[in-house]
Amino acid sequence: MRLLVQNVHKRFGKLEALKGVSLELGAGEILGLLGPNGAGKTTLIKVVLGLLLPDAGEVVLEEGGARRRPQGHEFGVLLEGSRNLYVNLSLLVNALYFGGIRGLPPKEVRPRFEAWLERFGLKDRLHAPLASLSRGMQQKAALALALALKPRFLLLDEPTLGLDPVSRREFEGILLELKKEGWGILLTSHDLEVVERVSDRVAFLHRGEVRRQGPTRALLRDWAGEGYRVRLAEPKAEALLQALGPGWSAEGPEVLFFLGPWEALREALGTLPVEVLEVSRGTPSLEALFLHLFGEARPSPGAQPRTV
Amino acid sequence: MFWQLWSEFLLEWNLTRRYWFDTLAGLLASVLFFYSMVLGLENLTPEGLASLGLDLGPLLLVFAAFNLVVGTFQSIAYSVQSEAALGTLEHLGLARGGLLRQLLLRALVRGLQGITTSALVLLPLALLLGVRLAPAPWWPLSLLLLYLAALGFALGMGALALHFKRVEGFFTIVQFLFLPYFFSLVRFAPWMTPLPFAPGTQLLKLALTGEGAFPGLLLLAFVQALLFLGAGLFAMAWVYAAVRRRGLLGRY
Repeated sequence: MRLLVQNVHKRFGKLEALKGVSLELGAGEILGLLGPNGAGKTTLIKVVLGLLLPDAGEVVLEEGGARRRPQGHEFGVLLEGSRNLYVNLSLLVNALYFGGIRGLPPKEVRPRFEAWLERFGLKDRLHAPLASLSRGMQQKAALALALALKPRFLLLDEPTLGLDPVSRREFEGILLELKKEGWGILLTSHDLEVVERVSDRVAFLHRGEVRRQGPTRALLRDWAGEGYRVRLAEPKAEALLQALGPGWSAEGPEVLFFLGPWEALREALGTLPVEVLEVSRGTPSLEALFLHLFGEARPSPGAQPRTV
Repeated sequence: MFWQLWSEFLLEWNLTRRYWFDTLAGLLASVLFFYSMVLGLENLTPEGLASLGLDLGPLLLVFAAFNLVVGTFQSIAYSVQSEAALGTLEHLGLARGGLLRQLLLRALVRGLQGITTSALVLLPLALLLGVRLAPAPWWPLSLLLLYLAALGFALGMGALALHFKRVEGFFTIVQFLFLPYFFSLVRFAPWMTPLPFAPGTQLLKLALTGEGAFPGLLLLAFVQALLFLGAGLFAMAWVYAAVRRRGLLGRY
């Protein structure tokens, strides 16, 4: 079973939000959809869900040789900037309601929802109104519901928003388990460490265009090429980023990564106010690549991604 | 579809339970509104309402019809508005069969609630004012026809809400237009028959006072209900597609 997005165009007035986007998501696969704010990620998700009608192109579910337009209720969804649940009602009523409108009886939804709540440490809040939960807990509850509906595909728009580091790590584990169970997951997140660890493939969306997509590791290696990892004697990586130019990112308190030519690195090393312990070649992290592409050195419209 | 309908009952029950005080206050407000209107009219005319040629029975029944129509015509629009404000409207769009089906099911549940509310307003008022009701066996049919016409109108108003999201101001205008309009139906004349909601209201009035049904009136009420429903469904479907094209569905 595959979900295919084929040559989708969407324009809002003068803004061309999606310019011929084509993507593919299979069962048992996690696709990370990355891009800066306004790249078109949420627009694309809404087109897939049928909440937005494309100007051209189509979204197709391919199953056993048959092709058809998927229905909204076949997706588990977390929408960014949307409440996802009723704040004035209990978690249980929310689960039964949103399960019910998708045609699922309570006896199917409730045990699954309770199991996921237990997993997220929220079982004791089953009867509590959503409004009494913190932002992070609300996000977990919405996620538990999306999972309890047992959809064919999960579309998660910024699912780690508001989650604490422990929950984020747990969420990663859950995504990997779901993948093993055969769920197809489309994930957008600015938490690039999570995306890098769980995604089989990533697609970079910029100004409504897929600039590049492919297996995460291969894409990092082939597209970005190799960069340089700089180990510092003091934990000042974050502080130094301010002074360093484009191409730099921090991979930890004492580790900087530079994506660029050796000459530029050599020049920058000479100006560093901190002792450098080691410089080694390496593949950049997704975050380094993202910052390189969409950070200070934002590519001009229509420019091709830089290969180093 | 059964679980979708069940969900709407669940939601309505939980909202009524959670906001029971407001529900009760709303009921009381309707009773007081009509009762104070009658008292006011009686004070203005020392000889009583009869001297104006007004009979309390039809007046009360038309008020019940007004209550039902006003409650119904706003129901879909308020659902759209509140869901958009809460940020859950797009999730309703993911219901099996889509947003339109789910809103219709919700309107049906709210319609049942509206009928119950109208009955709860009508009965104490009838007791209080000494009005005797003698429902004819066919009264559910008259209620259904009036309700379906109101539902069609509600779909049209829902279409407005899908596009504009906030429509309270417009609804206040409609309510102020409806009040004198419905009360003019108290003294029903044959020329009023094709007017919106007129055949349904007249049928309800006749049914609840135990009079016989007129086949012509019944047919007109039926045709009007179908026309309103058809036009409402068309408007809603057209606007739903338009807001999805323009990216306005989730906006508030």
